[in-house]
Amino acid sequence: MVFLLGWRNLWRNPLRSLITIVGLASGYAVLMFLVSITEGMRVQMLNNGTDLLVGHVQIHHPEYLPDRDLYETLGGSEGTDWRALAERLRREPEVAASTARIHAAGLASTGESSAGVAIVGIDPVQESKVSGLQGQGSPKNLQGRGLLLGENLQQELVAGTGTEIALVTQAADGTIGNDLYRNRGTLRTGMAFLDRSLMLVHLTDLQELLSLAPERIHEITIKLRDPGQAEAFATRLNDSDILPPGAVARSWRSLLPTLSDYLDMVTASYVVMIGLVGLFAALGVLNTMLMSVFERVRELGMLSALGMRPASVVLTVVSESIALAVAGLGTGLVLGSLLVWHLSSTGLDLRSWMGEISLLETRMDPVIPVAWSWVAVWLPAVGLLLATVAASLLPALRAAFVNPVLAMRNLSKA
Amino acid sequence: MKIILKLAWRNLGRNRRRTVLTAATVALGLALLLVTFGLGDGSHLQMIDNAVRMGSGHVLIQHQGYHDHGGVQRALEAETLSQVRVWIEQEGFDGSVQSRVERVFSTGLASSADGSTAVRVIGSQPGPESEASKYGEKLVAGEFLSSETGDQAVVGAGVARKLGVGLGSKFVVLSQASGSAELQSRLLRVHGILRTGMDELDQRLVIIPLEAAQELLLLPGQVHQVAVFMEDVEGAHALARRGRTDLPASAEVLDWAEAMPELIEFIRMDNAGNYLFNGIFLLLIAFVVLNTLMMSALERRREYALLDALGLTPAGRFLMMFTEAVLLALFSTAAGLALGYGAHLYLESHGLPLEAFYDGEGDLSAAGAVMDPVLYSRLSNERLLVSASIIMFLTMILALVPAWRAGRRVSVQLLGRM
Repeated sequence: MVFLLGWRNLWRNPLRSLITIVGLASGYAVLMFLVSITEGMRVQMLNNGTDLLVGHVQIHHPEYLPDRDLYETLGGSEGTDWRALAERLRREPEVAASTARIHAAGLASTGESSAGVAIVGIDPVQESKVSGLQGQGSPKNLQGRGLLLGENLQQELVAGTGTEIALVTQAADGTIGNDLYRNRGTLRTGMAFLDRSLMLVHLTDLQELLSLAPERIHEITIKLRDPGQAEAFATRLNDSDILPPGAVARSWRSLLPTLSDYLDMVTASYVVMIGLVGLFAALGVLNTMLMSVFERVRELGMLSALGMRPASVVLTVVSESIALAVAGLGTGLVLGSLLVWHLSSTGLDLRSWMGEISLLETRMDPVIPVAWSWVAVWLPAVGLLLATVAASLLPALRAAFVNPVLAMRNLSKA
Repeated sequence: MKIILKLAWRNLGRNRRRTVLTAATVALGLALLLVTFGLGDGSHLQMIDNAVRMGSGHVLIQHQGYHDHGGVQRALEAETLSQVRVWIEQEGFDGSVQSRVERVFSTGLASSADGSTAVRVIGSQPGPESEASKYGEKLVAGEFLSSETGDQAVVGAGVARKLGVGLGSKFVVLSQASGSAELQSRLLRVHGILRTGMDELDQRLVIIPLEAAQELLLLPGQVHQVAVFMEDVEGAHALARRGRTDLPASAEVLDWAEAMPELIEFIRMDNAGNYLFNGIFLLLIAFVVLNTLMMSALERRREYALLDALGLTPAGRFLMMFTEAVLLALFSTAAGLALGYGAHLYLESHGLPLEAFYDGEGDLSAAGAVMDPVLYSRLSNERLLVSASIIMFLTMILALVPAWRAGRRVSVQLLGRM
C-alpha cells in the first residue's frame, strides 16, 4: 500500500521523475562500464604479470629468494628427482602445467659487442605450456646449444639468427664457465627490463655450463587452472608431503608483492568511484524529493490530520525514492549491459593513445579486455540504492513533521 | 535590463534552499575537477622529475643511433664532444640550463666470491652527477663517488645482495671493450649502496667514475651521452630542437620525452582515464542541475503568467531566466574555485600521502619512473581557466532549456489556479 503510494507519487510529475531516473540510469550505466573496464584491466595485469614467466606458484629452496644464489638448489645441495616432482604436481587437479628452471647471470658476447644477461635454463616442452612468451623464436628450437634472446638484447648484441654467441659465467665449482651457443630467435615480453636482459637456453646445457649435477635445479613454476587458487594451493603444498625436504612453495602474491598490493588497491578504488557518483546522484535525488514534498505540503498535512502516523509518512516518501531508484537502476542495467556487451567482443581499444606499458612488475596492453563481471553489476547498484535512500531521509522527516493546521491553511513551507 | 537583473537576483534569493543546493552541486563538481587535475598533473611532474634525475636528463646528446641501437662503439668522438661542450656553454648556464653530466654505459658481469650477476655499468662524473641526480638521496649505505678515477663503485641494493658484498668489499666487473673481442675486467670496491625504488634498476646498477669506465671500455676521452639538466621540464623540447640544428649530424639530441617514450604514454593514458572520469561526473552534474532548473521553471508557470499579464514580453522572461542562470553559474563557479583552489593549496603544501590507499611495502613504479609516496598538487593557470570555463559554460547551456520554457506563450488560465 505504502509502496504503491510511493510509485503513484512518482508519476504525478512525470517530467521531473524522468529527469531524475535518466540521471540515475546514466550514473549506473557509467559505473557498470567503469568497473567492467577496471576489472578487465586488473585481470589483464594479473595475467600478464603471471603468464610471462612467474606463473601462479613457484617452488624453491627456502633460502633461494631473493638472492637467487646458484648453490641453493631445490632439495638442498644434493638436488632432488625434480622430473618426478614436476610430474607428480601435474597430476594435482588444480594444476594446468608445471616446469623446471635454472637461473644464472652471465656475460654474452658476439665478438663485436657484449651484454650482461639473465640466463634462464628451461625444459622447452613444459615451458611452452607454462609461459606465454611471444616472438620469432620458440622454446622448442633450443636443442643443440641454441638460445633465445630478448628483443632489445638481440639489438644490443647485433645478433642475427644463427649468430654464434659466447656465454661466460661463474660456475658452481668456482671456475669460470664458458661455452659457445647459437642464436635461434628473439623473444618479446613487452616488459622493458626483461626484453633487455632475458636469455633462454636449454636446462641441461645450462647445468653443464654451470657445472651443476643433473638433479639440481632452482625452481619449479606451476600454472594453475584458476589463479585465484594460488594462495590456497601453495599452502596446501607446504602442508602436504608432496614437496621434498628443503623446498617451499610461494604464490604469485608473495612473488610479486607490489603487483599484488596494487591490484588490491584497484579493487578498493571501485568503492571510491561509486561513492563519488553516489554523492552526486544523492544531491539530485535530494533536490527532487524536496520538491516533491514541498508540492504536497497541503496533502501531507491532510494525511496527518486524518491520522497517518509520521512513520508511515516517512515510509511513503522513502518508498517514492526507492521507486525512483528501481526505475533508474533498471533502465541503467539495460543501458550498461548493452555497453559492456558491445565492448566485450572487441575490448576497449586504446591503440591510438598508447602502446604497451610496463608497470609494477607487469605489463598493460593497449587493448583492454572488457568482461562481464557480477561485481560491476551489484556493487554500483547497492551503492546507488543506498545513496538514493539516504538522500530521501531528510525530505521524508520534513514531511513527517508537517504541522497539519498550518499546512492546510497553506501557510507552512514544510 | 536593470529590472531583469534585479528580478533574477530576487528570484535566486526567494528559494534559497534550491539555489544553495544547485550551487553546491556545481561548486562541488568544479572543486573535484580542480583537485583531480592538480593531483594528476602534480604526480606526473614528480614522476618526470624522478625519471630525469635518476640516470637520464632533460636533454640528452648522444652519438647518432645510440638511443635505438646502443652499442659500446657508438660514442661521441673527442671532436664532436668538444663541440657539444661549447654549444652547452653558449646556450649558457643562464638559469635555464643548470648543469651537464657526461656518461659512458656498458653492460657486464659482476662477480664476487659469493656470486655473480648481470649489471649495467654507468661511468659518470662524480661531482656533476651527484649535484644533478637524486642518487644521493637514495643511498642506504656509504657515500656517492668522490674521486674522478680509482676503484670506487656505487651499486644498487639488489646487486650488493646478489654479490653478497657490503661497504668496502671488492668485486670484479667483466665487460667487452669497444672495438675489441677481448673481455676487460676491473677490480672495484663498494663505496655506496643505493635503493632507487625500482627493483629492475636496483638489481643491475653499478656506477663508477667516468675515467675508470673509459679505461675499462677502451674509450679514452669519449662518452656515450652528455646529459643536460635544466631549471624546469618545459624548456627541454625547445632546447633539444635548437640542438638538432646547431650540432653536427653525427650527434642525436633527444629531450626527456623522446628518451622515455613509455613514460609519456603512461602519462597520456593516465590523463585519458582522468578525462573520462571527469567527463562522467560532468554528465551527472548536468543532470542534477538540469533537474533543479526545470523544477523551478515548472513551478513558476503561474508567475510567468502574471509577468505576462503585467507586460513582460516572452523575450524578457527568457532573458530573466537566463540571467538567473548566469548569476547562479557565476556564484557557483566562484564557490567552486574557492573550494577547489583551497583544497589545491592544502595539497600543494601538505600533499596527499599515498599510504592512505596503498599500504604495501616497496615503492610504486610505472613506465620506468618511481612514484613518490606523497603526491603534491600542481595546478597550472590553464587548467584553472579551462575547468572554470567548462563549468560556467555547462551551467549556462543547461539554463537555456528552462529559459526557453519560460519564454513560451503562457496560458492566462494559470492565473486563476491556486
